[in-house]
Amino acid sequence: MNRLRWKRMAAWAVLLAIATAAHAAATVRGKVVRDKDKSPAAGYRVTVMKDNVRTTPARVGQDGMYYIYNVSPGPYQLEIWVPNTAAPVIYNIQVVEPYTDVPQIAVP
Amino acid sequence: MGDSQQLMEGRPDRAPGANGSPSPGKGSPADPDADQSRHWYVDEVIVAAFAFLGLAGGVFLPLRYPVPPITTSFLLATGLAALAYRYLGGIQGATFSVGALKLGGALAALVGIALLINQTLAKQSRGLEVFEVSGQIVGDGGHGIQPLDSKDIAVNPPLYQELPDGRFKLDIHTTNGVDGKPEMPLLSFSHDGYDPHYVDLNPKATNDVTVTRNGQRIDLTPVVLHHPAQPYQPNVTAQPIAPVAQNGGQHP
Repeated sequence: MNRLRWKRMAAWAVLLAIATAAHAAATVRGKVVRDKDKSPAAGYRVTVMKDNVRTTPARVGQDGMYYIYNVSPGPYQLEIWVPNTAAPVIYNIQVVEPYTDVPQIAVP
Repeated sequence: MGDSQQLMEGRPDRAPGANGSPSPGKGSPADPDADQSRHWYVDEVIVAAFAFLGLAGGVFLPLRYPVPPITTSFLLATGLAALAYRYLGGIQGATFSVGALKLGGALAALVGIALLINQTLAKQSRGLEVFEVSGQIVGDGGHGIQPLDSKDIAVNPPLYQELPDGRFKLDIHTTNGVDGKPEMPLLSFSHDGYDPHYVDLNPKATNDVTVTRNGQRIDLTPVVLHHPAQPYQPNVTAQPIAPVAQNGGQHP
């Protein structure tokens, strides 16, 4: 009887571990400044893209920081959308858990 | 000519507004038998629809949506002009000039009433106007004081109110976005010892909190701030690659 109970508990533990692993996600954060005066590029949009799937844009705050939550680990393209330009500034990054801290990037 | 054809061609015995005389309405004592078999003609249906939609829209639309005064004005004017056309047979001799354009009859009444109502509504809604104030703070020597702190400038009544239990109220305004369209601001929430949290108030944005809009009110579900597991310290490299037109040149 006890053995059966332990087996059930072990099965639930395995299921819980799988579910937790499936929801594992990283936070991508970094700082964007303007190239000319190094001031925070507040309001700029930042996205990460993988396999032509782009995240919802995060916007750069007054302190120049941006935060993109719930990103699965792996290689991504970090896109910084500079206003009045057609193409974003693109960087290759490797997203790792729990925090992917991207170095400061200067944009036009 | 059958009834159906009359229905399509309009009323054969009367051209509303042509002679300026009031039309014999339903229940006229002059011809009671004719009224009992009376049909709705195309022109009557259209006029009734305009009267109903204009008046109902002018009254109920502003209760649900933040429509500008000119929209309400034209809806009410459409309803009133349709009623005037139906029961007075048009307004003979009415003219209204807008620059080189000269309007007459019911159309003149519509534009005239709309502009009249709009003036009143625009005055009443002035409490919602937004202004941009710019200036400079200088010291005795005339030099600019810098850096200014956000606490150096206050607005009374305040745009931001701290309420008990972590609640707050905030007045915000839209700005011109990259494409010239109105853009809602990004709210930044932070507190000592916590990671900041951002909420994008633009309607299409997705956020961790639920944003509920009701006219000019925006309600947020509780914003959860977390203690940072680790401070910001770059731990990956970012390799720049050549820019290629993404998303068809459209910003996300």
